[in-house]
Amino acid sequence: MIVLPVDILASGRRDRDLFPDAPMPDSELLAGGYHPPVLVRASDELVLWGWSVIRVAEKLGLEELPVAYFEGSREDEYAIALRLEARTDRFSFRERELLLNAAVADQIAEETFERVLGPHIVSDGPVVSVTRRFAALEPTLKRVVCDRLIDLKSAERVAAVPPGVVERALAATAFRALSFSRRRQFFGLMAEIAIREPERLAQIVDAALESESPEKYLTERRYPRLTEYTNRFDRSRTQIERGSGLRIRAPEYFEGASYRLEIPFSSREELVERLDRARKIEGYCDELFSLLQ
Amino acid sequence: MSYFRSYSELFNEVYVERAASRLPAVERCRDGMPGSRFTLVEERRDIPAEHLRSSTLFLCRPRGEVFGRCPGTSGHVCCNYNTLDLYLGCTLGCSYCIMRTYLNFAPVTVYVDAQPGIDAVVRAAESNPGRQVRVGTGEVGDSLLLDPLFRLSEEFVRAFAGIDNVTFEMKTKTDLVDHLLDVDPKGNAVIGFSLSVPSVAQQEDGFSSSIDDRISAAGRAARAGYALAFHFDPIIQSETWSIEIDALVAKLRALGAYRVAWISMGTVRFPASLQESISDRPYMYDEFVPCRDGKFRYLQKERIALYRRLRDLLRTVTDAPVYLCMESAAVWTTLFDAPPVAGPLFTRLSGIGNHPRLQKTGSSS
Repeated sequence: MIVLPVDILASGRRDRDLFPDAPMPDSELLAGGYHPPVLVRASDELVLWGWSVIRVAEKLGLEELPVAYFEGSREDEYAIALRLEARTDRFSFRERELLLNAAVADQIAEETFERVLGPHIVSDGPVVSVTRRFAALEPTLKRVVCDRLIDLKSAERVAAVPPGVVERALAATAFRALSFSRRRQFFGLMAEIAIREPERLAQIVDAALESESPEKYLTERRYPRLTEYTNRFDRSRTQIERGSGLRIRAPEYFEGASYRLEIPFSSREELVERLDRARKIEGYCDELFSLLQ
Repeated sequence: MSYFRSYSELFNEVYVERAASRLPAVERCRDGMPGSRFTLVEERRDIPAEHLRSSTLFLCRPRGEVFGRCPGTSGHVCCNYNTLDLYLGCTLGCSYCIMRTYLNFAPVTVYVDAQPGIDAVVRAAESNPGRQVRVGTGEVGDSLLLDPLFRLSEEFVRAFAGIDNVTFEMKTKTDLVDHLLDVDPKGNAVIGFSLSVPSVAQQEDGFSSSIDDRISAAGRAARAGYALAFHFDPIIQSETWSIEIDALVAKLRALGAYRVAWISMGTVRFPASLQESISDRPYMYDEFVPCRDGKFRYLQKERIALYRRLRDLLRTVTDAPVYLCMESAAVWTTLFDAPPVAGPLFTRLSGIGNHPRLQKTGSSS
């Protein structure tokens, strides 16, 4: 068994730590000498894999760690490090970006990275193009994607939103309290409003964050005409239904030719009374049909 | 045309199915694309994967049924149009084109043998005496973009010229009509021009001809004896739409006397699958709602207002039939009092199946 002093290992090139989000190794296994050895390049003792092991060893006050020397092609170095890491589909975007940049700096072609190393990183789908998309994000958005506050696609959608507005939303308790899908919806709507009403965006987002339902508020701002029709219909509906026992429904999205009226009744008298009430709906016809035509 | 000097600029590779290689249209293509590389293949799947793109041209005999009923769109009113496959795919690059969702990674295909299509339409005309067979080649590609090269449309025009109940339409966003002007006889042939207000055409119609050039071409076609059709589709509303549409219809009025076979109107619509690829287009940020066929359209009331305005303007120019493309019965009824089930132009023909190619995809634009 080859061992090297921990302080020597720890003084190596930290920029080669490609797995900063790796889970911490088990302290007991490490102290007991049952952990896989740190992988070191034979020619110059560069740590190829095991920075998380070295960090824990330092914390535990261990003096030396077992190492395994490796000498091979650059792509073999990355491949063995990825296999030791054994976290397919669980690498953070930050790690993916580090890996890709390091590999490119080591003259590994992107096509080779995708073909040889990609399957160790994700089990399905492209790695390079998705990582490049992440790399193109602003630092704030990178952070929230890494923190899984929003997904990559949602982050990309707000690329045109002024960073200050995005940061205000991200910092707001009201935003953080939303579920993941509601945050996605919020971001999507914010991106679209940024295109529709760029000069009023900040004001709208602030108002949304203060409202009871932020994404509902944004939806109403994004779809003002549909919201207006909905509100107008709701006003008529409230009047029609109040105390009448009747139920009136508009076609979905006001797409269609007719309204539906429901007249529940449980006696002859009730039927007569409700039919009488139903006749009064005629007074709302102009308003109702103006929403469809 | 101003956007390319020769067809060799549009296509990097030309693959020719061996069985079609001696057809006159292929010879015309060779003459029109001197210096281009032509490669003989036994069939489409012999085209290398790296050439499966729209800058590749594939010339072949027709596959399967080339003539069929336009599939329309579910839950909406069909105008009972029939389609004839000729040019499949398009290099114009209009932002809203439905074909972007399924033809992007395919070569532009030309069915260089017109005869099977001619035979199918003649059979339909014979089996539907007294009914008008409306058929066009503009469903899955521009009818005229490549036509000066292949000159296939004139074969159809000549073949149908003597058949009273066939109206053959060539639908285009180009001004490439000059090669058709001297075709004689023309019979009921129609040249249909897709029109938008100029600001939209400039931004969204890719490499199509300008609206002025299209109208000018319409004038030449009309003077040569063709009936015209105009397709205001897709209508994309904007702050200037109302002013621009006035001016556009005024230009149609200024063309003078001409025959108009029909006019269609359709507002912009798109399936969810196209949404991402057009997310950079400003019109995407208007208000759209999902309709019964799953496509997104403007709110019904807004669509009706656009149609009403255009219909009223068109009535000052022509009394030709105006219809809606892929619209709901509710909109039809509001605008025209009833769907066009009984009109002679819109009568459904018997013995014609749905368009097989588009049936596979489930919808068209």
